[in-house]
Amino acid sequence: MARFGAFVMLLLPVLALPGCGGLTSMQDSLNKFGSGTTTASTTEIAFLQNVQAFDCTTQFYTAATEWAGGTGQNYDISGICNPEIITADQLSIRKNILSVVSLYASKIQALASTSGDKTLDTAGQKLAEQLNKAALSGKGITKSDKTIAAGVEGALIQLTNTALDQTRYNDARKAASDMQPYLSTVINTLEQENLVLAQEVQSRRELLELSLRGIIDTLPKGDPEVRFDAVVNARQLLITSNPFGQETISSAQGPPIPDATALNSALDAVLSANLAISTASKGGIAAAVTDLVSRAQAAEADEAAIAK
Amino acid sequence: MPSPTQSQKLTAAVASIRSAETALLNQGRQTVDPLVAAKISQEYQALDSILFQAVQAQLITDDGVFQNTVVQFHNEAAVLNKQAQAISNIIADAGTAGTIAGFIVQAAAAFAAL
Repeated sequence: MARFGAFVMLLLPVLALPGCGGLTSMQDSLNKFGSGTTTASTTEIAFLQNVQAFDCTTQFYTAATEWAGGTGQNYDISGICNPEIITADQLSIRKNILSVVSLYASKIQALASTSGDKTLDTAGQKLAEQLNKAALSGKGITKSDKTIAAGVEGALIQLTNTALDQTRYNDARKAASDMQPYLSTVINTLEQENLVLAQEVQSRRELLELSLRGIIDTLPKGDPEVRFDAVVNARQLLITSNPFGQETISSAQGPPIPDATALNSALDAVLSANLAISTASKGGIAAAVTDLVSRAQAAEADEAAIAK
Repeated sequence: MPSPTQSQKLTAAVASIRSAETALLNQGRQTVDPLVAAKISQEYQALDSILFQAVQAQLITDDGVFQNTVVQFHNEAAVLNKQAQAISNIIADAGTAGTIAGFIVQAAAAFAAL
């Protein structure tokens, strides 16, 4: 009997571990929804940061080539950049938008809890309160940015209200169903912007290529070593500045296509998983969140590799 | 914000400018003449500046801001038509120059129709 008691004592912590029998399939799916959505959100931020880094890199090299070629008046080696494609303020607004999306997903995760407490953790609760207050204020979260659709601000209010809710929702299905249109508004806006940013980035990258060619073409023919190094360095520079994927020195496929496909498909998967939570069977939800996690991880790997 | 018709015009203008840019890039890749390369780069840069305004305009949500942008694009249309004429002085091959100019004129027409 004493042996059996000791066995039970040993087993108790194991039984309490998530994923070791204590977690229902629905809880597991909603946990994956939370983590997958957070990964997709952080990847969107990484993408925007990569675009900004690319913008600054191309600004520097384009200015340097213009000065060297005689068309630019001055060069700048200060390392200070004023991003144009996506400004610091715009990046900050988008970080807040994506925090709201992540907080909403965390709330859906919390609603799966079988304990009485279905609220966000302390840090999440505090952030949700701050963002909800900002959204409800006259300035809003997005109102200073004229490129963000008007419906987004209202959607952020609804999503932060849900993240903070302690009375309206007791289960994830109803919350997911009510929030689907608001989540769609936010995510569709981000996807549309990603496509637009992709076009501009591709154009700037080609301009950089032309600028580099302009400098290489002026190098004296009598110095093959310098000319060779210039060509190789220019190619390396284009490789490292591509924010849309990893490229090699030369390949049959050419550089990665700048269409933000992986990222937008991860964002689409957030919407599909949320829709599944509101309407599908447990199996359907499990399939949708598995797809979300896999797409979000693929997009994250892309952006992480580019940032290196 | 742009109406559905204006959105279509903007999308068409962006596509035409991108086509012109791609054709210019190909010409830039083929030339080894520093003067021609520099001129192609300048023309590309001028197109990129207008492209940037056009892609940003696609996202504008404020009606007042968009109306100001439309006025700007009407002016850009005239600039683009002049740029289309200038291309033939840079690109030696008349057929290619005509193709690039054609894309630029299409973009100008889309802006003028906004």
